[in-house]
Amino acid sequence: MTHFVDRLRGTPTARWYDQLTEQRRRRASLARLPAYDALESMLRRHLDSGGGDVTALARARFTQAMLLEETGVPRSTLHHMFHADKPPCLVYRESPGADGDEYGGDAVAALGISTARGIWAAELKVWTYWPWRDGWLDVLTGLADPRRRTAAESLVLMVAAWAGQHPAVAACDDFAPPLGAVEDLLVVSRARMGASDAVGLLSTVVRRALHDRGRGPAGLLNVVHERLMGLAFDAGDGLDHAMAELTASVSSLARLVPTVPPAARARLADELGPTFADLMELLCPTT
Amino acid sequence: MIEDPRLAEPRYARDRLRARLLALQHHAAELAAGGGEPDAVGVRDLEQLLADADAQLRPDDTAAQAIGFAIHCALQERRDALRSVEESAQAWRALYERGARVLGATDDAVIRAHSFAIRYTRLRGSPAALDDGVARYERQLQDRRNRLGLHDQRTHITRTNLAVALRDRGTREDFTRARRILAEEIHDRGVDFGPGDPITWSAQVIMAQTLILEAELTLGADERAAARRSLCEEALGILRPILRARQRRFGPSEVTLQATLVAAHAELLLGGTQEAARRIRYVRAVAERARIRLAPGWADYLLARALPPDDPQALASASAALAARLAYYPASARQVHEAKQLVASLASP
Repeated sequence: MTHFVDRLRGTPTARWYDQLTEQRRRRASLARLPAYDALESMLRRHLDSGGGDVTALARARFTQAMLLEETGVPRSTLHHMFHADKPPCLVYRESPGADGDEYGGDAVAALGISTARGIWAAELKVWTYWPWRDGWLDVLTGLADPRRRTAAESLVLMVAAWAGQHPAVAACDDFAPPLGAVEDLLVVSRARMGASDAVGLLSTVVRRALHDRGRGPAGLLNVVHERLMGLAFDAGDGLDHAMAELTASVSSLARLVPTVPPAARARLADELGPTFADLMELLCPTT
Repeated sequence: MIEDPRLAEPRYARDRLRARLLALQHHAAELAAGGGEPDAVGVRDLEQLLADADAQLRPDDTAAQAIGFAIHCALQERRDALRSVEESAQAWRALYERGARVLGATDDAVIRAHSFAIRYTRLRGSPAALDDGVARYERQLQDRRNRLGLHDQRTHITRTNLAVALRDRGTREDFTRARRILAEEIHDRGVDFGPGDPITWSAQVIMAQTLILEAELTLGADERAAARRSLCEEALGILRPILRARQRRFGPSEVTLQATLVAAHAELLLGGTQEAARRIRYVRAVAERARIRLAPGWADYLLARALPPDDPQALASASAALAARLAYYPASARQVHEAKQLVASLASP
């Protein structure tokens, strides 16, 4: 089974980003970058002129004509670049079924990305989110034994911090999270949650990050933590998995304990006694 | 893997560094479990991050300076686990002053550094340092109220810090005021963040600890036994659900172990010495294995009190607590004084 950190490298959005990187290296520039810059500037202007009202920006429905006029991007460019049937568009799917793709299509549908305008904004969100994703993956890669649960938590921190750093981009389209973050969450959680639940959870993170600026990423994780655990880690075969791990650990300990000196055994007993007593209290409460 | 040309762009480099810092801090427990020298856990990764920041960012860029400052703060927090109160106080004061110069005194990270400087200065324990701590938090609270309002998380944090500073100064009036502030904080945090939010639990644990320290003040006066008992029972009542909630949310981590020791302290004062000793031994064992550093000498000091005075382990624990506290606190600190008294009483029963 491929490790989840390796699977993160092969998500549809990761492959899309690699394609752009490769093109950029060959040509030194990318035609879509000026379109990203223009859209980002426009969104910032709207946020500023609206007195920083992120909700108004999130709800704003920009028509295609408005967008083209305000950004100065030609209509032909828009349709040429952000077209789902043409690579390297973010939602272009050449070969469904490749590693990671099983979550990709669901995430695109759950985010409701379909029009050229929607693809444009979705690409901008991923583009600005990528350094956060890149730094996150770099740290996960450096861990000897990264845990899915902690990785899901730190992913939430990344989305919260990204939103705080790019409020206008994050707010547009109803606080939609970056497509790549949704796919990553599905990979990290073994797709125990549905794509629409992942979108809902991360949209809440984005919205709260923009409304409660004082809370910071860790405070925002608190807001969705129960929901995240309920959707992805406390559900499904979590119990079977935990029991299988515990049984394996207990049998390892039974083999190892006779080999350790008495002082170390006493410390193990100090630690394990209360741990198991607490667990038994949960299983069979005495009061 | 293809090298991304964006790595050379300042905006990309800044966000990527911020992301690594956040992720490194969140995954600290897994880093610790990964092995290596116990003292270097986390420090090495942060030093590497700082070196990368120096290499990738232009020094005259304010945003870059803010990231560098944030990494420095994270490094100091790690180093606090490896050095004395006096060294931490000096390091945080220097860092705060530098931050205030470069980023301004109202920058959030700079204010946080200031809070650490105040905290370690207070831990020196001299009357002047304790007064100074209270006065500085009063000013910080006024400033945050004015700039951020009453409901901002940062205002809540400063207000609770003020309560801790008052409690540690420890006059009767200080305790009364600290408890009033904490009761309001628990209520207000419940309203602003919800009763199930870990930030609300923090205020509750501090309240429990405050009640216990107040109960300690009344030790020795028999007529106050009932009051002492009720303070400890109230503290335990606050702590029980939080122990379970923290265990569920954070596992056997630093914050869970701290709350467990506070509960053991309450049990100890209520006469439940065996239960207290069991909890303290558990905390020591987990902390040792998971390389979690709690306040030096805290667990041993409580264990020495929980054990029967004629148990040789009691004196050994008291001596270990004294040695740890002497290495950490200034010789004149309250923590050293109380450990010395305990050693003396156990050595000559």
